[in-house]
Amino acid sequence: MTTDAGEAAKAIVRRNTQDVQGGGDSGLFDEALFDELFADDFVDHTPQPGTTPDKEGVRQLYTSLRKAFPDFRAEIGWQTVDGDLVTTYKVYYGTHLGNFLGIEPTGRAIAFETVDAMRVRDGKITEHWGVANLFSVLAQLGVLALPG
Amino acid sequence: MASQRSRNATRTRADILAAARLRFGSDGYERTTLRAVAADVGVDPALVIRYFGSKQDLFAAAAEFTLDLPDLTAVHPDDVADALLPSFFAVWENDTTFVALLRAAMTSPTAADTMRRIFATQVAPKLAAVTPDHPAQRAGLMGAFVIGLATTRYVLANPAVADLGHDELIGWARPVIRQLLVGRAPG
Repeated sequence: MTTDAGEAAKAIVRRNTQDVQGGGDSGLFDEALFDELFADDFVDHTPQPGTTPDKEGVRQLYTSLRKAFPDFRAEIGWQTVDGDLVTTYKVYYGTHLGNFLGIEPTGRAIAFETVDAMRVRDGKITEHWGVANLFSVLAQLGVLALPG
Repeated sequence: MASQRSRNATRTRADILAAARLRFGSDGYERTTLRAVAADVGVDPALVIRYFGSKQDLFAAAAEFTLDLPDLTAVHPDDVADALLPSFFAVWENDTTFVALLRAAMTSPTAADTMRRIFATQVAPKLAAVTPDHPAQRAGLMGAFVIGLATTRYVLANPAVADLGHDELIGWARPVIRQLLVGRAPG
């Protein structure tokens, strides 16, 4: 894969992170763009509890995140590309204004780190592996006391 | 021994909250004392402080705050101020608990948390139902306008704003609220 192709793959992931997950210019879930960026046979190797490991599962996850944190946005720390695999480190931010993991809205501001890898083929996201620090979100929402 | 003590602690905490709720409800925030709440439960005032911190913190943990905002989905954008502000006057002028909470939220983290929760559960959803985009920013800015108005009118009592009649204030607020809720977003 050439450098240009690698940069194009990173751009696809960045567009998803900022314009789909981050709400783009409107602060709303852009379903058309989501449909464009994700392959129909997309596979999630690390689905969140209660969601299916496919495109529908991601649609549900993204929709519920925007409802829980209507100003949800990401700051990308860095991206690397290896072949068609793009790895991104980012911090998500949002205000807790809707139900999240069964927790009633608190109005608190939260932030959490995520590292994920996405495979991009023919301009579409086909696979995902990710780790998100949801543990720290529970502490920030006051439902979990962390030691120290 | 330890489990006996923690069971009692849970019970005592609940008793203090119940007594505080009654006191704040009947005597108001200013006249309620931690000493009186402690006496109602039959514990030392120092215990109330150990469990809840300050009077502001106890107040924020105990008091119940209900805003009762109208459904805005069928209201024309030009009429939102007319629909919303009567609830604003009812909350701030007929019920001293909200002014007490507003003052407390400036210095007590518990009270600030209570304020955030009221906003998230009772205000933001009503506003998000009618915003075309940026629901969090629009609801947040509405909150800023309303809290600023309440502070100016009921805490700082700036006469130019505090002496405005309800209809006058609604008249001034109408275009501001319209812009914040449904006006063109910047950029």
